[in-house]
Amino acid sequence: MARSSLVLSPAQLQELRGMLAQVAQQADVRCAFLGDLSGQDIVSWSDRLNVDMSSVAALAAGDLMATIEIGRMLGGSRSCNLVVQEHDELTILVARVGEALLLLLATARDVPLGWSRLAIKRLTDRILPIVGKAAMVPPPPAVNDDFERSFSAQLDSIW
Amino acid sequence: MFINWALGELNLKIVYYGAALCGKTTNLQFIHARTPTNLRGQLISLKTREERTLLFDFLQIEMGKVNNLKPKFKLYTVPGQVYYAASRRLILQGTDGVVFVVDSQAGRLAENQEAWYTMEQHLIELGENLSTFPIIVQLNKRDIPHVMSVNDLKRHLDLHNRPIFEASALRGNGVFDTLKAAMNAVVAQVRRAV
Repeated sequence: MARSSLVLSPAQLQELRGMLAQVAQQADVRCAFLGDLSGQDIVSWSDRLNVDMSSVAALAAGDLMATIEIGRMLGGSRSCNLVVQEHDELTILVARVGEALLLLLATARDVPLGWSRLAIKRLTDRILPIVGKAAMVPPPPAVNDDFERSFSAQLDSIW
Repeated sequence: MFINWALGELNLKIVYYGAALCGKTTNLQFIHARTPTNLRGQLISLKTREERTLLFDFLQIEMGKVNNLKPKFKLYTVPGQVYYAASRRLILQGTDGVVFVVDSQAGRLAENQEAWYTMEQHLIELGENLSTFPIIVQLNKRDIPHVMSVNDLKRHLDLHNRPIFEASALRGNGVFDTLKAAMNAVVAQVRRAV
């Protein structure tokens, strides 16, 4: 991946969010999150309102990328696809989706690991076609000369 | 870059890069301290016990809507110590622009040169075109004695074609000038790209 340049339409995001919410209905899921390996948060579902998803995105990407790099440096021939954290109250899985995305699933501790892995695999199979299509869609020309000027003026008003 | 049309967000990533102890984290700390709380997230720092950056610092800055699109900037620092080269490359992945922080002290020239060289190498490996990629240079620590002149630093680091800002991150001088230049450069690059 050279540069993250993902552009998703409202319908595509809605579809992704719907998938995460659907998984949350099937087991005691605390948080489901889709981001990319450069640390961008794409879409998430959580049973709590006060989760800082931007920070979760940055940390999850850093965690997974570091794990992938450790494997590569030690001669691992296959990219790491899964990091598991087992806590007293919950289990967190961070999985690589395709080449450039990651999926985080946090469940209650009593949700079997096998269920979570299966859920991640099925979600991955559904997410990739949507995101794959998104990359082919050129974005509307919203970032134009006028945007650049207005943005610069707003920066000056903040600092 | 990630454009979220459902929420009308333009998500962009800027990485503060430079040699160990050049002031990358200090820049983010000052930005965090002086930005209205409604426009910024929490400052996340993954540090060693010696208070050195282990993996990265992270801070999100959120702007008001511009032409119905809300820009969000994710600011990262890289760990500066030489043995964290692999981490630095990981953090540069997917970045839309770089602020290269130079330690202006004469005794740190070799470390600055090494950091500049490895940054360019990483960006090339990641598929970026150095002639168009936004790199803003901050000459930091201008407030302390025995610093190199701006012209000498330009010459030794070959900075002639880059926007340059003098700063003292500890005092806050030049921190926002650098940040604003980086943000504007990244937005201009995005406009060209899309």
